[in-house]
Amino acid sequence: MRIASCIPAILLALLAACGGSDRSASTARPTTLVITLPADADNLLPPLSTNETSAQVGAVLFEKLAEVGDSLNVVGDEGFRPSLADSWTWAPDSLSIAFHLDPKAHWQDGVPVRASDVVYSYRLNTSKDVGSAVGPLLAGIDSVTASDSVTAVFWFHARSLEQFLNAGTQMRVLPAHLLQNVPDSSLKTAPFDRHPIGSGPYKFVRWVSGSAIEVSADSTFHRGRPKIDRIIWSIAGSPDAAMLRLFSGEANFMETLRKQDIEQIGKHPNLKAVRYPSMTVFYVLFSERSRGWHGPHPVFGDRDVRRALTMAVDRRRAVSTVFDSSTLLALGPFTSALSTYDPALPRLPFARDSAAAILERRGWVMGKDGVRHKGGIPLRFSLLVPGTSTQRQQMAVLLQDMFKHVGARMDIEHVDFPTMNDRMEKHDYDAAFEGMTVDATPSGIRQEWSTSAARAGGPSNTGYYSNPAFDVVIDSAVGASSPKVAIAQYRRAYATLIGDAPAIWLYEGTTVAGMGTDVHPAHMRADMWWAHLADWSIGDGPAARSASVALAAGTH
Amino acid sequence: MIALRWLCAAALIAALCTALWRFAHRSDRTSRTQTVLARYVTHPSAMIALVALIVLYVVSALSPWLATHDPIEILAQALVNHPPSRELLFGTDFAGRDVFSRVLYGTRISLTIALLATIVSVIMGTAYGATAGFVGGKLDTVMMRIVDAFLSIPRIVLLIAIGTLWAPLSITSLILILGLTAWFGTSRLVRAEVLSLKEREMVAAARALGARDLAIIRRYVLPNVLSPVIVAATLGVAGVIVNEAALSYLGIGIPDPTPSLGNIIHDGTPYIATAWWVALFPGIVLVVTALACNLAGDGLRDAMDPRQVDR
Amino acid sequence: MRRLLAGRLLQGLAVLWVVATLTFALLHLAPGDPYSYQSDRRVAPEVAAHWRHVYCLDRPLPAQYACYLASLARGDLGFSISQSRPVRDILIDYVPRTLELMSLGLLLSFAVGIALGVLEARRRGTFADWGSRGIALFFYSMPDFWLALMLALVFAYWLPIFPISGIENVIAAPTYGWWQHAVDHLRHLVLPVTALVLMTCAGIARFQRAAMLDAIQLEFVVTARAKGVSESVIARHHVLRNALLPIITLAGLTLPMLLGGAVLVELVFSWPGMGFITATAVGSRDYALVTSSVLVTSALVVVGTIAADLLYALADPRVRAA
Repeated sequence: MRIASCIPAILLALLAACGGSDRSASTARPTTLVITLPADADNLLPPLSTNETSAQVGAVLFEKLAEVGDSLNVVGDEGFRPSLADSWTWAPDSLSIAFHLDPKAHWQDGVPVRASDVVYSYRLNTSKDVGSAVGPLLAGIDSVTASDSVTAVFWFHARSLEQFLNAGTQMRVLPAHLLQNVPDSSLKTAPFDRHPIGSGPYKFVRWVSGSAIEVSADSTFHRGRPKIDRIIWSIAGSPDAAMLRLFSGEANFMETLRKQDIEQIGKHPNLKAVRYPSMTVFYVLFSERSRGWHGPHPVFGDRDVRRALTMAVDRRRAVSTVFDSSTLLALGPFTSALSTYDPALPRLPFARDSAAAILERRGWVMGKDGVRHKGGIPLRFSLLVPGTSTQRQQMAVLLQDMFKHVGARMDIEHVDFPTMNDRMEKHDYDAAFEGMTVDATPSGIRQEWSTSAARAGGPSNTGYYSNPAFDVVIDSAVGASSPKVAIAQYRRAYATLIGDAPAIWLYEGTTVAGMGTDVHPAHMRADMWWAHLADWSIGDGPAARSASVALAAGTH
Repeated sequence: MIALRWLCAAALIAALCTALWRFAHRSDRTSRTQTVLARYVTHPSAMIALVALIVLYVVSALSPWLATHDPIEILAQALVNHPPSRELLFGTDFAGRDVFSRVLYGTRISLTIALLATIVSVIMGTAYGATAGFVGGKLDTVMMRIVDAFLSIPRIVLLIAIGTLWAPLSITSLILILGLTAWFGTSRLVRAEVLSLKEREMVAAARALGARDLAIIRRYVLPNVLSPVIVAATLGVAGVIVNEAALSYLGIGIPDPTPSLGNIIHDGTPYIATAWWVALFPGIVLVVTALACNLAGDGLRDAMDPRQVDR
Repeated sequence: MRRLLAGRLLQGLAVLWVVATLTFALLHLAPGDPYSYQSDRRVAPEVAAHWRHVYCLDRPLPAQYACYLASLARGDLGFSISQSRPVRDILIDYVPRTLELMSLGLLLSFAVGIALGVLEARRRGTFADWGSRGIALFFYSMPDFWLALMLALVFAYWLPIFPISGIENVIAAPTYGWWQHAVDHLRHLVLPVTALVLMTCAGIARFQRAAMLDAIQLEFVVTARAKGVSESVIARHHVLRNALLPIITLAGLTLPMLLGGAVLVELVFSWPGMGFITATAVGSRDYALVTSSVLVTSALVVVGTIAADLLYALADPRVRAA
């Protein structure tokens, strides 16, 4: 009995002793980048994937014809980099573009990449039965043909500033010889989805669902072997678990850190923090229509009240409490990575007294309970906050406190994403803490804020912002013939939008990545930091320890 | 000043305990309640549990008066995730709020919710179980299969699903949901008791004399199922308080800034490695509460069971 | 015996039908659908409309229910939208992981619980009895998520002896031989299983202790004692054997509790099992995946209960005859 009861203890001790070795990701002989993230991939076939993990894996397995350059220019073809196509030629009338594939490009099973693959991929992405998220972006393309085995020609309905972007960089090219016998409707269950074969810099190795996805360098890649030998996506289930994996050395890369984590990383001997630009803006969106469409919202229908509430928020303090002082404040529904961005755009200042004065002037009188009233209606509203976002929850608490000082009472409603989207689409909310990923194309702003978007219903402009002046300027910006005119018009539209305060613009996404000190990232692009994973490297010896936040190479 | 208030609270607790002791030890043991109480107080662990519960209830009821800070006030930016000190007994959380005061208020809210939810579940369980047992036949079978179905889904899965799908839950709906997912066990218990009572002579006699069903239930059935139900309810409080905490821990229970024991732990989880105090202290209060309820329930069971032998 | 089995199976099926209907109602009455879930990438409205049509989501509720029951009857569990593959394939990946956690947890908590119960009964009234019962009840009262969190804090963060989360060391796993795989896997199992065992063994110990004390008073034990048989032989041969019978029933009852505990333990330790996948799937309104995983969970409970009943009937001659 005595000895028997010791056995579990001995076993435990043995198990404990067995670990400890090979824990560090970077000391294993083949260089390995272990990316830890919360969610598992859904489908590795790019037209069917809808989450970011799949997008990252898909990006190293499959190639696009061309890549957006580091300047993030999206009009014309300036700055675009060759990828699967090593060059392209425009037709004299600009109604077609011929992409010339790299003749050395080949699928990982040895078959060369051909123009017919491009034709097939276009068909797949526009097929109704596949339902690719890219499909609608290809609407401007009339057809794709193969003029010879390595030349794919895209034919357009009309000229537009973004036609190259849509043709060259929206879809990834897939191996027709492996997929064309699978009917479109059963593509989702094809074995290929879980054992993909691409033409990219990395080859698929294994996918243990809920645990890890592994790829390894393809030494025969047509643009040269990638520097890191293996990449593993280590699925942690939650951001907290992911963070612990990074700290314990079970992973050596995590794409976003919270403020406290950044401080911790400063103290960690083997980790560094690297900042990179982002394409996400976070803001508190006001619903300008009352719930259930009964005229303007009692509080937010008034432009002056929206401006006053914006001025009541000390955005700098709120942002540096949750993140840190170097986090960029958002100016509007766009980020500093866009070519149309201008740091000199106007902004509403933090001025608690003037905010109170404006509210007073608009008839909101302070009541005994510390909340303003106007004609019996209290200055009270609720804010939808996604329960899965810790930072937004934290900031909501801070905002609540700031509004209290000007006599506005805000209730916080934690909801999950589906409920939040559903309620916003049904206009069943007062204000919502939104995070929006901005399109690399500045024209996306028209879909989100124009009067026609508000009238159309659906997921766009759920706050019912509507200003004819804005509509006119944005239309002329989108329709502009030269990039220069377009940029000037976009900036005018931004200024109008900011003045109307349809939302409190808070901050640009926190984008500080945590990684091993020996990981040397290439340029991390704002819209997809993983765009150049093939150029990353992992040094042999630990690089010089950086206590503070480093800047990713080549960013501003 | 605060120390003085705490002294007053301690005095109140002492007075309550003494009163209870006196009541249990009165010489004229006429009522059943007194017999049970007298037997209960001889149980040392149950007694400790009772005292712990009294302390918890008194302190949480007086929390606005005993708290050192406003539980939702953000103290200062420099006091974010501050470790425990003399001023801030349990430290501060990510937003710079005093964890001690939050735990005090949170205990109050968690206890209130648990109590109300248990009442809901006891009423529901008793009514359901009594109906099924008394009516019997096909209805009984159907009703019990439904209970089986609910019991075969882990309660936490049910709660997570409801909580996620209908987020955000108001406190009232939270109480209802916690109560309405906690009665299945009670209903089985009551049904079994009713079935055995139905066979006894007094019920048969009453029925023969033409008493109506409802009257029989009130006269004979309810008093007899009372003691197992009270025990189940006491144990149920522990279950409900833990489930409420689990929901709030997952971020789908009580929303910020209102503190509850679970959401304080939720606030502390991301920083568990550096600011362990945020998640530790509310957890300890939770364990103490649940432990006290469990011990008290055991004590009650022993005290109420006439067949009980000293074990 | 056969009739007993048939009856229980029929009841089990009825229970599962109720569960299926319940989860269906719960999910479909809630706001949102799988395509209102967008966190990082946006699905174009026309694409969402297309898929809504494919999965019957644009039809009235009764039609959807009919659609769902029909596919269930065919044994088709549907297609998971958030994971983009058939639910059956997902369950094949995730169910064994939970079963592994559960069976180890069940086994160990019974081993520990019975050992504790026997010890307590034999040392009744001593300090060991009180101490062991107190400690067991202490862990029993602990909220499962908090216990798991504290285990992770102490044994994975402060004293980094066990892995923090997951099922394998993803970096080194491909280079492992079979025994290294096994050791690595066991190391990842230690903390979650410990949490489960600590949670459940108190109930088993208490049950076992009571059963032992009941059995001690049985006549044949008293007779044996009178004959001068030594106490330890009595404990082993007479008392324990008799007290083991109710344990079978208890196993059936512990199963739902373990399954419930496993949900939160899986979430805390990122153990990709049933609880983990169910919680994630609810968040993304993945109807097919949620209903199926809840169904599988309750099927486990139902089968467990039936198995316990049958075992009991086999072990106990009085029931067998009936």
